[in-house]
Amino acid sequence: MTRDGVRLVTLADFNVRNLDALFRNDPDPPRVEVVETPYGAVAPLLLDPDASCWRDHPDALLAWTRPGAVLPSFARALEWEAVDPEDLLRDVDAFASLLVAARDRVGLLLVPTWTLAPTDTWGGQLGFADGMGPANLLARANLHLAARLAEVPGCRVLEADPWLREAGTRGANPKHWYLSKTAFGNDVLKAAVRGVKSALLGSRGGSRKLVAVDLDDTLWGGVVGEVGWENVRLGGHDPEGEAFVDFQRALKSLTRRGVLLAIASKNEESVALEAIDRHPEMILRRDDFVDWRIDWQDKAANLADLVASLNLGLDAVVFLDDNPVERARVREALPEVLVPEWPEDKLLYRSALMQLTCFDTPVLSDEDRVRAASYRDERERDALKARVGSVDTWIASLETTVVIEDLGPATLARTTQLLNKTNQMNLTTRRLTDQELLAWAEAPGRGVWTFSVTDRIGTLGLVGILGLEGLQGGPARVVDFVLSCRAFGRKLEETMLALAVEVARDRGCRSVGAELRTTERNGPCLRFFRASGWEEKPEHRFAWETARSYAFPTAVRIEWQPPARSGEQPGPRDAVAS
Amino acid sequence: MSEAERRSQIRRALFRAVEEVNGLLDPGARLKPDVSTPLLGDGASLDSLGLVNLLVAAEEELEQELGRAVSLTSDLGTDAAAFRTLGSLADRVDELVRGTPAP
Repeated sequence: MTRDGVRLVTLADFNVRNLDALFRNDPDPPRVEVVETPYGAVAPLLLDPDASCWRDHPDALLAWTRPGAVLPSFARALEWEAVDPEDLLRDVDAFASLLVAARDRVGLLLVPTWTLAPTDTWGGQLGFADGMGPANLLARANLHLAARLAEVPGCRVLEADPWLREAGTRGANPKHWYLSKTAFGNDVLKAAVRGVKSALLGSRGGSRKLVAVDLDDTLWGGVVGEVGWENVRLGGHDPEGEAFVDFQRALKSLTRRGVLLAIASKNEESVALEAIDRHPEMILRRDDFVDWRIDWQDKAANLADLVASLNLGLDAVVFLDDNPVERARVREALPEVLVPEWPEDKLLYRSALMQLTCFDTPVLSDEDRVRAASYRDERERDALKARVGSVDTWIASLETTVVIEDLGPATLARTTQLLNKTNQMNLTTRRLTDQELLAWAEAPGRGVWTFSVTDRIGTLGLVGILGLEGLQGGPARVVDFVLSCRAFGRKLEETMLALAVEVARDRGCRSVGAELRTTERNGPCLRFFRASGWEEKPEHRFAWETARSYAFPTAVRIEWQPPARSGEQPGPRDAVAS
Repeated sequence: MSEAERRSQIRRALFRAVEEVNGLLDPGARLKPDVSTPLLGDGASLDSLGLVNLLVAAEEELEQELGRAVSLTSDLGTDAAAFRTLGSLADRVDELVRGTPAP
């Protein structure tokens, strides 16, 4: 899959031609080329690896089913026959096995949760009766399905209930069903298109990573420079004040999902920061923002500067401002930035934020949860850097430890996430699902190593990836050389090259090469390789003869346990350089 | 409500239904919001699913516009002439709303 185009198989037990049409006509990225299948052929197609829909390994499969159609015991429950919940879970297992069997035929498997149509249930006191009511049994079925598929790399369960809620009473029309076997109304299908597209983008690192917010009438009501921080509308027994608090809570919750917050506001900085620090009902405090530009300069210019200082791309940014003039200015100057229309009514701010699907990511790693804190630590490191002299002295003063590990189940999700979201220090910018990466790494002559960093200020987590191939005698080749922008200039780059040379020599390779695939963003990677000491050849190719060692940096402590060679006991390679 | 107002409401609802259905059609097959637009027969671009989509959308829009249910799908297969063009469909809706057949 490219960032622009996806081949998607749509497989359902109902007529999805309308859904296919909406995918084709939807202008938002990624562009979807639909591989249509006949409806009602879910099991036969999942069981048939030679079916034409699997030809050329499509990028993704959307397997959307109704529970009564694929779970026989649930169909009986809908008619109020007594059903043993264990039978239901066995039916779920059987269906999950069908999905797992087809998993390798596509890059990504997307499975919407099962939902109840309004005509499926009487509701009332028995609807959620334990072990009996259809809603109760459906919740069990969905939980069991999610648990089963959580173990399958490259498989995502999509929450479908919001699609139906969004459509309201137009979610399903019995006439559509009886006349064309279309199970859901167009409003549900449009929401599904948005949900599936955000999952496709998020799985390839395309989700937005930074929300830049205005302050006056965006985070609080009123102009703080006019009324003072004590008198802005925030909290209290006031509908608008409560709405601003709830909006801030929603923004704060995003930071726990790895999204960064920043401020772009026309204000006096000291006045604005005093409000953030002192107002008792502020949910967001200074530490919640990774950076800010609070002055009277052009917001678009300020935003571009702020984003550059964070080493992010503009296409990772969402800008929220109550002022339509400022929104138009940023849209015009920085078209890559997502600038959603924003409601005039403050009571709708939170719901407007919650409708944005651009933050969808497949996993939530430990690094995501502490990302904002990590950026704060980075500011502290920068301050230290300004006080000390040389780079080596600065890095040594940080007492940096780099832990190198083979790619494994514990690091797979974070590694895939880093591979797919990193643009600048990225040799080839290839994008893979977790299953594709694992399969690649396990092939003969290949290997993937991860680099995690801690220092005396905090932890950066897993920030680097090295992927090598040709390790069966060589020449070895660096395929993945990926480093988070938060770890640039910390001698991680040199550590990764040193490991590449050491591993290649250890496996009998006489040389190790790297070929940079140029993108709009990976200039920093090219500049590093040119300064690395590796021999540069035409067309951005670089090489090193392994007869010469490439020294591990002395300023960092390295923990690495290389695999044991025959006749040799494994042991920690602790402090290669310290 | 005058006859002209009622017919205007019907037309508005049908054109909104056309807009909804056009979102499901390829750009070259989209319907013009015009009473002369063919729905069935020569020059028509809708297939059977397209016609079902239009009628279901029209029923929903008419209910919202007129405040009462109008069943068009029950005529499918029995009154092809009513679905010849958007104009003939509007006439059929008007008949149903007035509760009397057209002369």
